[in-house]
Order: sequence, then C-alpha cells, then structure tokens
Amino acid sequence: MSTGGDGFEETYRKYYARVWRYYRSCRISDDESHDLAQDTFKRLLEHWSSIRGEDPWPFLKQIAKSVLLNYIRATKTQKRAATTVTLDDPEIVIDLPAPPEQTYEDREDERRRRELLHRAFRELSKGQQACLRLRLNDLSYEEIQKTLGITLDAVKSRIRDAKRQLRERLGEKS
Amino acid sequence: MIRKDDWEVVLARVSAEEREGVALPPTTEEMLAFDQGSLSPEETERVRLLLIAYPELARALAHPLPEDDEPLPAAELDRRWMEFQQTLPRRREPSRVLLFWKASAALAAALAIAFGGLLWQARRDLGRPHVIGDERLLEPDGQRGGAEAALTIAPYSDWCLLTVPIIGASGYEDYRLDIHGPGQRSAVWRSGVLSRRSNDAFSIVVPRRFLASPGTYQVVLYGVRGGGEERLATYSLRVPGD
Repeated sequence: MSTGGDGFEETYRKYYARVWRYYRSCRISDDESHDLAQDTFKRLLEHWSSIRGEDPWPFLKQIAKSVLLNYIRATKTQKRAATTVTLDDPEIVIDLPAPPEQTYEDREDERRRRELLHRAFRELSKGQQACLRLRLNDLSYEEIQKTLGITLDAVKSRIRDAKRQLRERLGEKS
Repeated sequence: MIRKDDWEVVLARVSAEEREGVALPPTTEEMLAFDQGSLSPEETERVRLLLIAYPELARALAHPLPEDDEPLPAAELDRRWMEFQQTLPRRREPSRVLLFWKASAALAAALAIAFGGLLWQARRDLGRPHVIGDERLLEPDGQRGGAEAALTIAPYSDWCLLTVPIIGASGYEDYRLDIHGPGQRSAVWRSGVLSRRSNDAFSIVVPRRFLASPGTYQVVLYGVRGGGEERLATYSLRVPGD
C-alpha cells in the first residue's frame, strides 16, 4: 500500500486531529482515540484510488462513524456484561481503595431508594422512558429527536412530564 | 434524595432488562442506513427500538463529527504519520537481475500472475465482508469436531472479540485463560484469575497484530480451585495466511 505523492499524506495531516478529537468527544480514551483514528485513515487509504479528486471529508466522516460504531458495538455492548480482558494491558492490576464501610441501615436505605426509583421509572410511558434514558445518556434534545423520529417539542414535553411524574412519585420537591 | 449513582444503577438495570427481551444490537450497516433514512418503515422501527435498548450506540450514531480544525502540534502529527506508515504492509523490492534467455517466459508469467491476481482480488473484494472487527463465539474442540474444524477468523479484521463460554464446568471458584500460538507449547498470553459472571462467558479483545502468524491458535480455559488449576477445555481458532 503506497501513501506517497497522491495527496493522501496531505489529507491525513489536514484531518487527523479532527478525527482524533471526534473520538475523544465520544468519551474514548486518548490512546484508543489515536488507535481508532489510525484505523480510520487505514480504511480511507484502502478506498483512496476510488475517491481521488473528490473531497475526502464526506468519506472520512462515514468511515470514522463506522469505526466508532464497530468499536462500541463490540467492546461495550455485544457480549453484555461478559468479563472483558484486554490483551493490550495484560499486566494491569488496578488496586482500588476500599469504599467506606456502609452500615446495614445505609445499605437498606440505598436498596429501597433504588427500588423506588426503578418502579417509578417503569411507571412512566414508554415514550417518556425512551426520551429520559437517552437524555440521561447525554444525548442532546436534537439527537433524541433524530433517534426517536419525533418533534423537538415532543422530546421536551416528554422529558419535562417524566421529571415531574418522577418527583411526584418519589415525593421530592421540584 | 436520588443520587447520581442511584440513576446509574437503575439505568443499568433497565438496560439489562430490555436487552434480555431484544436481539443483539443492530449491525453497523443497519445503524448507518437508519441514520441515512434508507431503511423500510418496519426496519426503521426495529432499529430504533434496539438503539433505545443500547443508548451508547444511539449516542455514538447521533454524535456529529467536528467541522472545524484545531491542529495537533506539528511534532506530534509527524509522529502519528510515521506510526501510520509503519502499520502499512511493506512492498517487496523486485529483483533487478533477470537472465536474458528467461526474459520472455518471465514476462509472460508475470502478466499471467498479474491478471490472475487482479481477477482473484476482484472476486475476493466482491465477497469480502466490510468489517473492522470480528466477533466470534468459540466452541470447545470436543463439541466442534477438533482442530481440523477450527473456527476461522476474518482475514481483514483489525481485531477480534473472542467469547469463551464456560460449558459444564460450574464447580470452580475462579477461572483463567491462556492463548497458545501455532505449534507452541507454552502460552503466548496468560490472563489473571477471572471470576465467573452471570452470563457464563469471558470475552477477550485480541488485536489482529497479536495473531500475526497464520496457523491454529488455542485458547485454553482453566478452572481455579484451592490454589490449583485444572485444564477444562480447549478452543481452537484458525488464522488464515495472507
């Protein structure tokens, strides 16, 4: 595979930071973001001859999104809750400090609080649950609108109503 | 008072409940088609429901790429470019010596190889799945018919996710995994001690460069109990040559 004299290096230098920042903004670690950015350009190079002369940015955007979705799909969700052992860091041992000891009352209080929240959340309408879940996963109103295929006003009112109902059911003041 | 970690726990529980009721997450192709609005109404609705069940993917799909440029320092960009070039396959230098009496035959053979190669490449490209990563559920050798029938990983993937199920070996406190390279007795990689999870499986993210040598690799599962280890199962995995 050649990268010399055909504008590829220029494209790489122009867009590398942009692609890397995209992955960073998606909460990917710095090292992983660089790896994914390199993968993205590797894939771009594979298709380079077919896009010569055209603006590479639209292709690059599509490839970058595809690389990100593949990454998240595989490492975060695909095998759900399976213990994931990363070969890149076989020797890493994380020795977290022990959390402060909870009393029996604290634990029971926490369990009751979460049970109540879960029940209250499940009592919301399906549409409210979907909007609130996406919002709590840091999607903007516009992104939720696009994902759910509903109007922006509907997104806002579902989230507002959901919050109000939760407050009422949990007995909290607004 | 509801705290942030209460929400995290409840949302994780809700996600787990919903994922029990749906299939695997949508494929990357399905998500990109959903994003472009090119799916049928039924498929659109199906993918939408899956994205709600997998909000990490919904967030990634909806998150826009930046359109502005805030460059990296020149030295770092140079370093990244050098690294990038080093990951590309090297081209072989052609031999500069060709005996005259063999020239015609060599030229004809080279043309045949070139055209054959182009035809082969075109056929291979048509059938090649467009994947970056490869995800495989391993089966113990005894259940699949031995190493001859070993599972083969995709030759174009940059990494693969190997899922090792624990089948019929539930009586252990902990487990451990080894990977043996082709024809190697000693392990090329060893995991630490792993606790059993509710889904009875372990997943290993393996960069493709780790499987550089073609041949049959073996993933070995050990049960750990009372300070000792017992070999429980072997899962063979074939890495094709280029």
